[in-house]
Amino acid sequence: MTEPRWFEQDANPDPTMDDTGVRSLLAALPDPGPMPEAVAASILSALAAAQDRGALEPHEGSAQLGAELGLVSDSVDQAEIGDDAAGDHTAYVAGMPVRGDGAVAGEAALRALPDGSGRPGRPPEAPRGLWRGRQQRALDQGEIRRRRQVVLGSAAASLAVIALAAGGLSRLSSQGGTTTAGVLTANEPARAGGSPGASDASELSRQPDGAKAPTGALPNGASAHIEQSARSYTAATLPRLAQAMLDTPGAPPPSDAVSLAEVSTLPGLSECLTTLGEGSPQAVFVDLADFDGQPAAVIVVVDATGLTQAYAVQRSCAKGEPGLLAGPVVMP
Amino acid sequence: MSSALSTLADHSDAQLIAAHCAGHPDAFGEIFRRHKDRMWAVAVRTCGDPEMAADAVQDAFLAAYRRAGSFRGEAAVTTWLHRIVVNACLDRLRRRRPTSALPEVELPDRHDDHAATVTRLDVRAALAKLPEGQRLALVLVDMQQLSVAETAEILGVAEGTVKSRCSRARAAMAESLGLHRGAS
Repeated sequence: MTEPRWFEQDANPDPTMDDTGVRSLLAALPDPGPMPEAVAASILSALAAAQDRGALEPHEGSAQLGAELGLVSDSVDQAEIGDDAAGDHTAYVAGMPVRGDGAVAGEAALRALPDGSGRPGRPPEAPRGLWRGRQQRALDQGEIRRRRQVVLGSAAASLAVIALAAGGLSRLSSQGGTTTAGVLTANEPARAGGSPGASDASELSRQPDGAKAPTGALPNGASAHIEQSARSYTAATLPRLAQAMLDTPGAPPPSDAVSLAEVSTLPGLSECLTTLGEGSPQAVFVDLADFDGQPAAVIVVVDATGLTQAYAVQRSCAKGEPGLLAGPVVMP
Repeated sequence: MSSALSTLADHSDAQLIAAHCAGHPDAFGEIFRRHKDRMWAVAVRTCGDPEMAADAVQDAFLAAYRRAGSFRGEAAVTTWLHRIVVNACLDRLRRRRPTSALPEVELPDRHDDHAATVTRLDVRAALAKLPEGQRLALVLVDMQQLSVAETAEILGVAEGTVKSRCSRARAAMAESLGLHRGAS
């Protein structure tokens, strides 16, 4: 659609001059107005998720300017760069140093940080940063996510899941126990939100001290938490009890349960999720429990936008055979 | 760090992008805060559908977040963002085009009346019928009030091309709407 130069020279009137009246008509159309709060909240949630994943791509030449502006403290810069090789770009993301390629930076960099003041290695006790703050405010105001295909509800519960995931990520990295991003720590209470039934259900799932649920990462990098509880789900109680699972992550299933349940293994869970149409989750929580009195698995899936949905499936859920019992139900 | 945070709003867009690339956790949030409404308007007007616009503008801000390092400072950040948003909208539109036409969307206006609504729908329908390049030129120049130079930068074409597209688009719309030259 590139016009020949002769056309541009002969017919390129000043666009502000219009004798057709069309410009005036277009200018008079109503302005779309500010971005709806629900849209902004959704984007902030997606950005926060990207931040948690360390999704900043490698870049050049900007870190120095940022430091010169005083926007990134020298100590942090040095700590972040730490033992990185020269020329390897490091970006601070969500409370931990993450290299441009998404890998967690060296443990030495974490140890080098000043307590309290340095950002890397400090667990984010609460949503932090402008995004988090705005997101929290937006959700506190009862804003809803845009998602026309689902029943809209309060997003606070989903934020709790996101906060849990983010907190888990950061804590894991700060402990220096692994360099695998995307793994969620267990036995951490949600940082926000909660549900009326949480305390009741937490009694059901209370485990001996020190019990630790299995964690892992699905092939797509999503964090996965798998536990077994004595909860008895029904279609009516699915959202509430699933929320209780999020609020109070429990202990891992015994080995015999794992051997009997396809969904209690990461490969099996991944296939089950694909069958359910949840191909790219951000975080997944599985509870091996009962549904309508029968052994089942309740799966809670959080996507990149924070949308949180619960399914009840047979424990044999696998590729091509979901064994769906209930759901998806949007978490309240 | 707190002092840096308190002065975040005082920094230019380019400085914020640099800070974001350098690892500042809040710099891109400030970019988002500053530009979200304008990018929203661009997306709605380009997509013609608030739902699609919401998806497109999210795509755009995520892309900008991830690829901030590609911003070279040769253009204004707002121009860079416009370009990303427009491209995100085009991507969404092209993906949907085989199955449905560009929808006609009526935005709420409490000062509405029937005749005015009909006119606006007609204008939007005429706009939607334009070839993509012409429609984008009018959206950016006539609706978003961007300069020809900025529009050319956003669309990646010569300024003369923007001018000619505007001229052709207006003529086509005028004919479609039954307007006569000199109407303005």
